[in-house]
Amino acid sequence: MKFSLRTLFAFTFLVALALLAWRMFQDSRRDESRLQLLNAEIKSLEARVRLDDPAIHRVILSKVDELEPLHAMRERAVTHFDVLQEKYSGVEERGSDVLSIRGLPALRRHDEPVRVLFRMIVPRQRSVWLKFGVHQVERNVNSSRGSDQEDDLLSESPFDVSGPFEMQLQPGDQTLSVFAGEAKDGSLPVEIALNDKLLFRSCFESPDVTGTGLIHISAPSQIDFDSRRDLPWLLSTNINVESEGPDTERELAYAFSIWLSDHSSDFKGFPGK
Amino acid sequence: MMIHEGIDIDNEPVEPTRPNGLRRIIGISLFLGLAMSLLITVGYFAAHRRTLQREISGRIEERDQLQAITDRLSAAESQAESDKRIVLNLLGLCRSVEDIPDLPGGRIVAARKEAGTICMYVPDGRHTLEIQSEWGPASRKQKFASGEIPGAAGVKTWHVPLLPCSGYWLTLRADRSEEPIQWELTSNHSSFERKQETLPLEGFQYRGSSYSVDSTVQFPNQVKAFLAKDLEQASRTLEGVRLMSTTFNGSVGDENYAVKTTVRLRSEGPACISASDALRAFILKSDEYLLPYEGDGKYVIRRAQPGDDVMKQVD
Repeated sequence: MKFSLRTLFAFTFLVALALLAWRMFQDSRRDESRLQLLNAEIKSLEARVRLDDPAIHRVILSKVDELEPLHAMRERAVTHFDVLQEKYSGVEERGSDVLSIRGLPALRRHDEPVRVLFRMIVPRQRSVWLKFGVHQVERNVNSSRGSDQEDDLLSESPFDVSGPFEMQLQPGDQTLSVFAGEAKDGSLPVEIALNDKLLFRSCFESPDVTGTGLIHISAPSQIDFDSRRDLPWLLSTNINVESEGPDTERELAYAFSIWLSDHSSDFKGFPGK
Repeated sequence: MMIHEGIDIDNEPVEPTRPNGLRRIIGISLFLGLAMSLLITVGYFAAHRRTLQREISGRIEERDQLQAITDRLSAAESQAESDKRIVLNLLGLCRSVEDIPDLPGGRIVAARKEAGTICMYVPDGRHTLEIQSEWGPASRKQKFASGEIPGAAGVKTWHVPLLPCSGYWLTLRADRSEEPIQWELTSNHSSFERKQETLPLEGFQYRGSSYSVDSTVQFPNQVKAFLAKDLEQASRTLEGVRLMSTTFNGSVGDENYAVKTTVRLRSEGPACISASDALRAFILKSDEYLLPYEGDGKYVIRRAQPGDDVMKQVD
């Protein structure tokens, strides 16, 4: 069989046209699929804003008018918080052997427990030790502790790091931040920081952990501890776990406490990060 | 010799052949036919795609508009609770009436402080604080109940006009020192004078109390309702916004006494519900009590008129 050049050209032309037609067919099919996808997307969005019912659709749109101004209110509140924090954060130095402490206001900006903040003026002529320890408490009972109550501290507990820890505070202005987060997937995070330095991070690991109960000294204004006055316990956080026993049953729960002391107890130093 | 086309009958048979002209015509026709069909197909798909592209562009625009609405709505919904919580948290951090900021948004914001104390912000408009106390003998069983006092021996209601866009601090005081029950209202508005009143109940010996404070962020005269019966009720009576309810328990002489105090903020204008509650009302078909939407994210509740057919049906 012989093909002339002309036949070959015609054949090539036809093949090119066929390929073009096939390509156009494929593109059309792709566009049709995209249109179908868009239609499905629009249908779902229409259902979300109830376009099928004009009255309900109008109410849904009016919800935006209701809720958006709340955001401006929040912005104003957050800005004003800085004013309050400035107003209620002042601590004055009261002497070379006086520890002064004040609880700082903290705004709960996110869906997590708020940090507890203490601002301290650590005196130059007095040793001040910050201590942390894990112990047990009666379940559902939040109570303060004596700052020298150190005989029941645990070195092992469901916390991945239990301490006890201590560090001598440097003289001057110090801000202590304590955070016990929310229980998630059987783990509850705890963080302690001094100024911007993380002293300690641990997690309470238990499948039954549900949350925390916090008790701390109330210091809305400055409290001064001169050399005749013992340094204070600062806070205790009880770790709540689900219990199958009756509520009347006396059960023990884990807790951690933070306190100040005039002397060292030869605990390990805080591990840092 | 007979010659037939393509066949030499005398000699060996030969391949049948067409004349070159006819073959060419058939070839060209076939080529043109095929080419035409393919061109028509290409043209059809090109036109089809143009139509599809136009339709897709229109749909994308429609989708984007709807997506923008749902995005705004989702963002507003997911933020709203956190926004309210932060505003109430801030009010909780205020330690004096001077700390209460001006808050945009046209809402009443009230937060509980210590027992018997609330701090609040009232927006623009005319507002009156209503403090109503009623007292009377109460049996030991009743005194910690709902605060209902059977056979009230006395009632006293105070109405205090408030200045708009201001913060207020209200304290209800009762203690064991045999001092009479008092309330005190202060404001961060320089033109508002501190108000203090005493309950006209002699010899009340305070023993304990219960408080119910509604920490709230809501429109003036907002009713938290979406059921037909609640909206019907709201269309008949203007209740304002309840801020606090307390019951002081104690005795007068040898008799057990209870003093119930309710604090409400009544604002000028009709009762309303939020758009969120209106949505539930529309879904539950109890929207006949609502006037058409006029803006600000709230729906005004229609006032019941005598002879109102809608109201009669419900009755």
